[in-house]
Amino acid sequence: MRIQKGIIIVILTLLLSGCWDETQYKDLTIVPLVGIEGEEGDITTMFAFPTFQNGKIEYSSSQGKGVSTRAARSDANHQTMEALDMAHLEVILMSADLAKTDFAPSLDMFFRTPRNRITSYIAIVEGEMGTYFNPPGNLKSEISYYYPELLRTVVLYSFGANFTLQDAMKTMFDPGIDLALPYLRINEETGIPKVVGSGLFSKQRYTGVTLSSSESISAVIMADKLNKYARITFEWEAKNTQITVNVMRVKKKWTIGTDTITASYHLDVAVEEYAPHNLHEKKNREEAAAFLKTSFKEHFDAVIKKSQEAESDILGFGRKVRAFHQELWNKGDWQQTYANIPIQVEVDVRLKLTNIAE
Amino acid sequence: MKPNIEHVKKLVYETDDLYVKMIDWPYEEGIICYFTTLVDGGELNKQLALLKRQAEAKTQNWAISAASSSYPYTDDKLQNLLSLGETALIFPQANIIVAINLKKEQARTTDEPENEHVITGSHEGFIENKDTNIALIRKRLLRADFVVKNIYTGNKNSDIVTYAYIATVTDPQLVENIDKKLSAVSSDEFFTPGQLIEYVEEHTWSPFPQLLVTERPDRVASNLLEGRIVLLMDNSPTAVIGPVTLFSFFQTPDDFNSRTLVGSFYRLLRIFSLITAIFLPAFYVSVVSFHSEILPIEISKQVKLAINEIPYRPFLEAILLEVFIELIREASMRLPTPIGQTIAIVGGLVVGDAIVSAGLVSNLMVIVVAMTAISSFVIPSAEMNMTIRILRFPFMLGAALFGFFGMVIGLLLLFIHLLNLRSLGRPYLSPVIPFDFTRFKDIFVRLPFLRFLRSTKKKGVRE
Repeated sequence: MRIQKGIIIVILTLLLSGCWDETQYKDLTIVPLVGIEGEEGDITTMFAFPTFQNGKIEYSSSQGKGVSTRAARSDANHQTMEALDMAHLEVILMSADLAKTDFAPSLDMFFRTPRNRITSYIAIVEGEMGTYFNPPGNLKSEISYYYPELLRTVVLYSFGANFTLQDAMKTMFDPGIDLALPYLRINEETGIPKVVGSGLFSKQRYTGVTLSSSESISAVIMADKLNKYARITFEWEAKNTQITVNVMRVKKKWTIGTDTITASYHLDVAVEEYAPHNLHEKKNREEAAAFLKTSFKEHFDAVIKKSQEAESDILGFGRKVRAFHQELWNKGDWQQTYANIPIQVEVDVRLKLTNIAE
Repeated sequence: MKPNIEHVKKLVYETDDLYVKMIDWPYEEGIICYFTTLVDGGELNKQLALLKRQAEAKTQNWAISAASSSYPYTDDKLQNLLSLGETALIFPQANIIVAINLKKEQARTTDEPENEHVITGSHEGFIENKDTNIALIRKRLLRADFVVKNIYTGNKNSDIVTYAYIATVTDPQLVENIDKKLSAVSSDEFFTPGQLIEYVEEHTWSPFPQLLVTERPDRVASNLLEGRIVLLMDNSPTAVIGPVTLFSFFQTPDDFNSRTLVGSFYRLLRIFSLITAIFLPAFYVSVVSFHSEILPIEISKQVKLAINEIPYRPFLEAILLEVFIELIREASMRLPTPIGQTIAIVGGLVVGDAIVSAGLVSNLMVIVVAMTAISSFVIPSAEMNMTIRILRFPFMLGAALFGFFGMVIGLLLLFIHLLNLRSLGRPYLSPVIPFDFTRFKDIFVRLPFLRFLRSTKKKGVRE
């Protein structure tokens, strides 16, 4: 009798409970790309996703409006066949206008649900979000493929670093370092979205200042966040030629004084392209190294200058200052201090590889 | 009452294959009787001539020879001897039976067992004759401490179970334990090793086999040398080995015939196959019904495409296909080989393809189930292989109800069960739990034999 009761209880438990968390994959729409624009309290969210019908993958997008990102998603859900699922999110595009306001709460949704990816990339776009979801040019690919691959390339070639959702938020709320996110603009000739550089943030807001793409690489080199390639091309006017180098290794040394900062860099570079082809001679090598030294210094100085203008400490001097130089840190607001402190850049370049077989 | 021909016939219910005649013998007449179907007549004549000479010489124990012995006459004894296939020579005056043991052998050759093929190594296998089987083992051991013990079970004293061990290696307590268990058995209908195992093992309701079953004499011999006990039955080619651990079921004699690295690779592969065979369908069900976020984006679209238009839940899909695979297996197992192959092809290829195009089951599920089925067949022991196949159903249920959480609960229960399991009183998960490093090393990889020997010399004989 007891056994029978037990069996009935077990069966009832199984039948009446379970499956609470079940989210059948076939009832979900995976969203690889999200675009957010508007302002806090009036958010428009766009979603691009694949749809699956009759054994074919097609691409579609949907749009929602609401007081918050989540509300906008609910709104979009009412206009989409299946529920929108952010678990496979790869890219978040944010309009520059939204980025200039206090946008952090709009990204809260992506952190709130444990199944969401927080390694998706986040980037800023210029102008209307709609044009990025329906670019005027022919992408020859779907946007939900295009943006993730584009941003992966950005990482691979060191155009930018640390712009996954997780890293970006961590950097943004760290008082000692500021955020730089890839900045996209529609190329006017081709009508295709293009990464034109990095948008600089000061505290939690976008400043409106952007680094050009070569400055972005320089910034990544200066922060020692190199990925596989960090190629940079210089115009060598004295020799009437160009030289392309790939930075292989960076040694940085920041000396922080009471009212000045010296950032010295030692770069190991490989020459990737140099038409005169004479670097096997020591004299030419030294000459090239000297040229590269000044060129890199110019670039680095430009990055420092721009970031100081924007009050955006993207290299993270503040972290070191906060940890070891309290008197400087306590001077006041760090971003203000950073903008006014003189920063000397010293560069030393060593040609490690000339890529010439003698 | 003095026994006579009529009486003997009555004792065996006048069966027609009984040969019973009066026979002339020095000093008195005797009755000779035997089943013609069981006894070799030609050999019998030679033996009778020998006994007659001994009787004429009036020696004290004239009835004793290499193939004969004498007993006081009783009806029961006569019935017993006849049914065992012996020839009974009855002397009514002296009231004794002289039993001559000259059985006609009906044995097949000692071929390699069908389900335990090896590539290199011995190709001998046990047959239905126990004496031959013991001879095959003894041939490999050739030592005085190899002990064979017979135990009579059943009321008629006709069913014999034999256990064998190496006296200097095996724990005497283990031997005593087995002896006690076998002596307690009393059954008249005791035919298969499976029934024998149920008497000996401790956990009848466990899905896990607690004794190793084999038809290979080399496997038996190596297990004996490691201190295990072997049970043999007449009329069955199957030897039962115990105590064993879970990991014994994943080793084959081939491991020791192949190169160390190769043997290790395949041993690891088998352990891996254990994991896929139990968990793969459950994992798939969990992923598509609970945890789709763990899929990489590249594959997620393909997965979605495959399952988007399947009408059933993944669990039903999995059950449908698993049952289908089990049906194919069960159907083709007992069919003659050519028909069995046809069934496998029709079942596997034709229906497998059709079931996907009909939209009942997704093609990913077919891959998962096929991979699971293949993994389960990798496990060398047929019994363990069945166990593993049964085990995946509860895991699938757990996965369908609670996702990964359900699988973990199932795994927890499985471990609790395995930890409680004993094989003839020895822990089933040894040497992992309780942990023994010297033996642990040898589970997942096959260590070079020479080094292995050195380590056993230090630590005593491994079990």
